[in-house]
Amino acid sequence: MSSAPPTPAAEDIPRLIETLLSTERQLVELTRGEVDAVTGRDGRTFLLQRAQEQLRHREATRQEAILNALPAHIALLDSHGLIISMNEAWRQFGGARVVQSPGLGIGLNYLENCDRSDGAGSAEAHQVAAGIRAVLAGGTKDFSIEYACPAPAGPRWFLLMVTPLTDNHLPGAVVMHVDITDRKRAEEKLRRSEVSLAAAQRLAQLGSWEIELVDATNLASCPTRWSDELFRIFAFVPAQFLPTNQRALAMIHREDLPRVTQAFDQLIRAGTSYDVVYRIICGDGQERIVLERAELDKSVSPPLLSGTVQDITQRARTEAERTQSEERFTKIFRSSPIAIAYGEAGHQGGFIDVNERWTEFFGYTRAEAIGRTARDLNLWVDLAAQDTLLAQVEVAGVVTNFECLFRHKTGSIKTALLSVEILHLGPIEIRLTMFVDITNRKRDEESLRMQGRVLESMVEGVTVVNESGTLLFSNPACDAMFGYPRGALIGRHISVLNNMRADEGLAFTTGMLRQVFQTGNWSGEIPNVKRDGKPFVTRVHVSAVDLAGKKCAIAVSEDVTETKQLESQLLRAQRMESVGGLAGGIAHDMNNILAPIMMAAPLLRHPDPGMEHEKIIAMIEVSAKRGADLVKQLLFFGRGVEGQRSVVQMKNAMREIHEMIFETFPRSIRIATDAPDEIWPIRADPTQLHQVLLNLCVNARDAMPEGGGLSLVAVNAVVDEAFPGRSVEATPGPYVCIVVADTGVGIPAGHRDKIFEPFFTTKDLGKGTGLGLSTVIAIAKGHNGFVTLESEIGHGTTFRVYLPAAPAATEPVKRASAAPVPGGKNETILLVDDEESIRMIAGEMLRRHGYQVLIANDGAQAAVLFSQHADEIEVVVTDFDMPFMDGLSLIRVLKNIDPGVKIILSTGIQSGFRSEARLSELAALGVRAFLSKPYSAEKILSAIHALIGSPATQ
Amino acid sequence: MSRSVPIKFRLYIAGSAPNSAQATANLRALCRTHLPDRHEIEIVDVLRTPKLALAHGIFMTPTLVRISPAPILQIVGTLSQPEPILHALGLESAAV
Repeated sequence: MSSAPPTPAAEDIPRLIETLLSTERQLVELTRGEVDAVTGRDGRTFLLQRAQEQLRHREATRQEAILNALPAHIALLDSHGLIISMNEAWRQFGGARVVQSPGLGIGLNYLENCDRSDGAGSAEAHQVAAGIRAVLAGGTKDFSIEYACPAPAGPRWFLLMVTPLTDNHLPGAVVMHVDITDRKRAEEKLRRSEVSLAAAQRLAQLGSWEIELVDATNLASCPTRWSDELFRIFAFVPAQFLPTNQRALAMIHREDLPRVTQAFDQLIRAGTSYDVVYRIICGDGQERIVLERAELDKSVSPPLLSGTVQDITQRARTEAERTQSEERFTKIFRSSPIAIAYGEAGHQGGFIDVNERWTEFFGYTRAEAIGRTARDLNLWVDLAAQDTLLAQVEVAGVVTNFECLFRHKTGSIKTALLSVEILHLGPIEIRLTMFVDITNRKRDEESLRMQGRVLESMVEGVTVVNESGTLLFSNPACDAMFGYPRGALIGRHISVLNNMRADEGLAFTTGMLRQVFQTGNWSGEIPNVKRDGKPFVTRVHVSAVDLAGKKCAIAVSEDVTETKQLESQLLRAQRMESVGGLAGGIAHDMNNILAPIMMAAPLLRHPDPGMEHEKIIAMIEVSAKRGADLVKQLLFFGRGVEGQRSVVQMKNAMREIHEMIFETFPRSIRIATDAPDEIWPIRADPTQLHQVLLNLCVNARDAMPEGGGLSLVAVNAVVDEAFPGRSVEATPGPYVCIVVADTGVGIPAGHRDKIFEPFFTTKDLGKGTGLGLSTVIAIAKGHNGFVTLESEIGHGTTFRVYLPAAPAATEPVKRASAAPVPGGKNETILLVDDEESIRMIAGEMLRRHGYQVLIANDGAQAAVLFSQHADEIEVVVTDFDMPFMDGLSLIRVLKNIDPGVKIILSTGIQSGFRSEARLSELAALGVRAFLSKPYSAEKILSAIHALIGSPATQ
Repeated sequence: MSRSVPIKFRLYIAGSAPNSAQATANLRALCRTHLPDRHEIEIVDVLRTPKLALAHGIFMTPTLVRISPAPILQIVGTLSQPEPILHALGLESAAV
């Protein structure tokens, strides 16, 4: 075609075309249109026009459809880089690509376009140009590059691919841009999630693994993947350790292996997921505890086994330690004998738990307490105290022994010592509160303090004595009352306080204590003496008590000296009244006595020769004697001195009264008195006793103005608790009852309650003061006695006065007639006895009777004392039976020191040393004086006196 | 006719021209109906291998040639009417 063809004639071309067209038309007609092509003899195929058109059309349509359907921007370049074709995507999205400027259409040179590129993406554009050139030149099969370009919704990524067009006779290249933004983003996302997964695994110490279950029978052949963290847990470097199931199993602790294997088999066989905790021996030789969770996913092919392995070593150990300490705490908490509660700190913090003692202390159950606050339960009595405590806790974190009051569920108030501590358990603050119940202690302390105060502030003296009468306690009032320094009375014998002769004091005390321990109490008045010798009187009430298992007596004493003085003044006044009453009665008698004398005197002055002088003188004599007797009686009554109590024989007292009233009462009254010989003596003030009897007799006389009978009788009576008319103060025991009965008018029932009241009288004005019977009552009470009354109108009245028999009443004594007990002249006596009460009483008694006394508890101590004071000691009084060194041994020692020592041996065992052998031995030692215990004061004093006066025995 | 002897056809076509495409489809349908399992079809595109058509003396496409059994038989057209073709191939009785 390089040579120019011959130019055909203009008229030939249309004709030839006409021929061609008609030929083709004829061919089509001939083959009825069923032929597409014909082949000439030279083998050239002519495609008929219709087929040609259709073929071309279809080819174009198909190619375009394919190109357009591709998710890429595609353009065809010729060998020079000219764009000869493009798909719809290229056309539409041209602007989105950096390496292709807008409107880069057909006919433009793509290479030159890339070459010209500058700015962002120019480097990639130049690479693309070079790549395309290489492909066009046939140097490389294809070329691809990924590049990014900015876009409003974030950068977009493209993949540019260049492929040569070789199957065409027209060389060129296909340039294709694929938007890979989504893929890139997915990749990025994946990468990020992988990174964060790895980080998460590292942080959680959570490794993971996957096994593709290609062959369930041969796990070793299945691809196995471990996460980095799993390598870390097993302490292996990924590059140096190829993970297989076999190797993983080998690292499991032998004891745990069967469990893990079983779970793993179940997983593979049945798809059962598992959670197993087991121990592993890691690559570094350490033992760790892991929690493995695994599952089987059968929805993918091949099935995927996947699992996580978490390192819980720390957690497990901490948990174990925590469990242990928790158990310890719980044990302590539950069994604590102290009430404990704990809860969240702060005012609002409710109780988390309380122990059993707490529920006992407050009365609320655990269920009631848990979740509630102390305020909810109204536990605090003093809310301000709670605030103070909480403030202290906040500042110091701990408070100990905070004393406060709490309210029990029942409302009772309790005292507790509170200790609070704040415990920091992680982010939580726990308040631990311990309560020590000191309610009882507090109450005891309080009551002791109170009792102490009461005792101290009492006006009455309070003393406690033991069974033998030794003072164990005295309160300040008592010390002051007796004039002793505070506490000086303690240890002394109670009898030292009595204003009696020593022997009487001892006997009185012994009798009183005996009664106290037998009957429970004793009341009465006791003559006492102060330390400085001043006498006074106390009214005492003694009760038996049991103090720490020992029998003791508590005595409450009141100094009634002043009262007694007032009383005695009153009594004296009343007695004057009685005398006055008597005087009226005896005036007539007096006149009768005086009248003969008065009449006789003139007769004698002027003697009558027939007068019998002798008769008249005798009458005067008799009258004067009667007057003298009368005066004597009055004097005796008026002169009497009170306050001196002594043992009184009722018989004597009644005889005296009889004499008095016989002389003075009207003859119309018959008087009968009777007192049996066996009547018990009483301890009484004789003057006051006369007053009582006289008052009752005067009343009887006044009740019988027309005359009648008056009987005065004394009888013994035993008064018990149920004795009718007994006053509260009168203790049961032996009494002497004096009965004064008349046959007079009687006392109206309405007056009976009043007759003992002072100034109550039914007598005419000037005849009585109304003090008579109240005096009787006062005196009876003063003697610890009482008075009863029976009366019948018109028939008479009977008064009974009960006075206690003297303490030694059961054994008739004749103290009044006894010779005075001989006292000492400052001689020194060594008293040896192992019994404290004996040392105490005997010692005190000897001192009172003018002896110096040395006291020893046993033979050994006595020997030491004797060796030191041998020259002074006149007499040794020793017990026979003593521990360590008995009496006999002591006597031998003493005789060795001083052969002339005078010894009195006392013993409670009558026959003990009285055996012949002992007696002869004692005789050989020169011991002649013996005392049987219990010995009386008289006996020992007499024995000492006799011994001192005797010559020394050798 | 023995079932074991297949009939070999060669169809000359001109690419994907309409008549050729039609003839191809008709031939396959005819074979499927009347000669199941006893036919072989060879397609020859005259546009790709013009020399082969010339060697076989084919002047028009589409043309169906029965290569065996002998004698060689040529049918030109789209093969859209099966009866005359079956008749020419001696397969009428089988078709009825």
